[in-house]
Amino acid sequence: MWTIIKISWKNIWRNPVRSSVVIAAVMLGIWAGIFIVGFTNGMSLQRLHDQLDTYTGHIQIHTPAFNNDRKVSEYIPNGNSVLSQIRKTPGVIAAIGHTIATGLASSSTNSYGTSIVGVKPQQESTVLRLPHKLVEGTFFKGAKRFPVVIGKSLAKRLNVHLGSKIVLTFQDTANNITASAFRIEGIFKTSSNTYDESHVFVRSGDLNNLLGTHDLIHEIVIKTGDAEKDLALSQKIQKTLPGLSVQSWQEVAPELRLLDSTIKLEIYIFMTILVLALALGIVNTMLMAILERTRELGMLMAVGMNKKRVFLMIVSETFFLSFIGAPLGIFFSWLTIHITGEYGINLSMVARGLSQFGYGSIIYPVLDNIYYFHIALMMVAAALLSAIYPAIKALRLRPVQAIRKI
Amino acid sequence: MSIIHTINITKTYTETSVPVNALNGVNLNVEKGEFTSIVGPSGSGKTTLLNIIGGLDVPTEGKIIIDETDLGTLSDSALISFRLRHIGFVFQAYNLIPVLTALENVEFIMQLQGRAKSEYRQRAESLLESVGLQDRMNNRPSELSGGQQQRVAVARALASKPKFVLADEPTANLDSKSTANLLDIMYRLNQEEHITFIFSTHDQRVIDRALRIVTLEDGKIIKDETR
Repeated sequence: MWTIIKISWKNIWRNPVRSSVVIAAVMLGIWAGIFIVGFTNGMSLQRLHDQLDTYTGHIQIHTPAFNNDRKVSEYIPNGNSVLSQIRKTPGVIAAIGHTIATGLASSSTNSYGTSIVGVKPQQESTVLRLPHKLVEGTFFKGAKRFPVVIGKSLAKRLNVHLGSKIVLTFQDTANNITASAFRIEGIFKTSSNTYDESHVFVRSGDLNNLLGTHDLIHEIVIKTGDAEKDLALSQKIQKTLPGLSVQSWQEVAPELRLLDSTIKLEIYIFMTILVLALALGIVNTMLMAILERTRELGMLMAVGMNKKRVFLMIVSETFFLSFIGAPLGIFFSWLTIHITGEYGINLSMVARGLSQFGYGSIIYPVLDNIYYFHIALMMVAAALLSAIYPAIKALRLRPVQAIRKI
Repeated sequence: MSIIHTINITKTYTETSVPVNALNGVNLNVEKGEFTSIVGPSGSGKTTLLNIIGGLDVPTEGKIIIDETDLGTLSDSALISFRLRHIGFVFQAYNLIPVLTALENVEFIMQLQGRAKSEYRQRAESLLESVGLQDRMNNRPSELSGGQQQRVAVARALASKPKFVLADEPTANLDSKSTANLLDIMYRLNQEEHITFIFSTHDQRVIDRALRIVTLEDGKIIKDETR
């Protein structure tokens, strides 16, 4: 068997240019394919984690009625004791309460519909990263009355800037329209323009005062340690809070769940297509090699090389062609993803477009090791597949005819 | 003792639009140690007969018996194994494995037979010495002349210790000097080691050295003379 493998190895170097081109094609194909997969995966995971850390949190709790019409009167009964209970639940890292009203933000030049979110400034950053998304000002660090933090996009729409006053108008719990002027203390910018336009943040104490209530909680947002286990944890919490609606991020934002599941599928579809394309290139090369060596193969069979050995020789040659380039391609893609994953790829030139789709402008490619393993397995399967047809062609040769082939 | 026995061999090629009768009832016995030339004009059936004796082709009718084995009863894989163990081949175009050295080409047959390295290395060196290529053992075919390549092919044919060696037009691509040299080697092996050689040829230089000449015409043996 070693003799056959040794001959196979020598055979692929009969035409070094052709073999080198095939090996380079496999290497570059695998490298580029895996890198693109890592890039897309990183982009999607960033979007997912950005969404979880900035907007939705991992688990949200509301009353079922609030979920339907977001009325200010649909608050969580005994919100603070529920919040305390949640904070003690195993698996929960932190939890915060929001007071939420829906209304209108107006400046002297423009108005825009918005969610007014009342937060406890010191607690907010334990669950959501919005305080870290400020591009101007501070997140309620000043002592001024009625401060507000708004998105950059909204500031642009309302034609206001840091220190400007805006008026927030909304319904109170008695269904009366109430309004108050707020001074802009901070301006944030997330990767979603839509979010930035439609959310303003105020202190929950200020909002509760205007609503005519005390410490209302409409929404509890929870941070957990493992996004993959959020669905199970939400179901567990739901059992302890039967009157409330406990939803994991997969239920709050089904598009994120879809993104998460489709990205895995896309990785395999993309790599399958790529590996098959490479396999076809290898098949072509092997068919050429067999055509050129018809007489020699005829001689080998004539002098007593059996079909099993001929098959082994062709399969070995195919494997050598595949498996010089593939490991190099996998290694270089791992290296590229590792380096770019560390430092990021700056796409600020197209940041505006990316932002509209909820993506950040610096992409950090990432790919779990298991994918490299699966891609290597796919290459083994592809090499085997691409060996079969040329090997069958070789086995079909009749020595008596093949020897006389010119 | 007859090692090759053909009984009424007929071969008709039907792949062409008009069937061609390449062999018409050929009966031939070859004894061990013969140095036989099968001669005749182009299209007389020399190569077809050699292919059938070598188990590379099957007759349309008739039997071919090699040392009491009827080749018609062997399966494809058994026939390949039979060729490996009992028949040596020398082809017109040398047909060496270009990526192997002369020594490795000779060893290759013995490796296919599953012999031990110590045995095949020694025998391959000895065979190459006997064909006068002791200095070219580590050269690849592309580094050898046509005559030298054909001598490697003879050494390879003998490597498996075959019952006989079939050589199809072995001198067709050789100059006079190489032809004489090759014939000297094969004749010496025949005389000293009693190796049976069967050639198909229309090269007068080979015919002149043959000890038995079988003449074919239109697929029939028309003359069989022993010197």
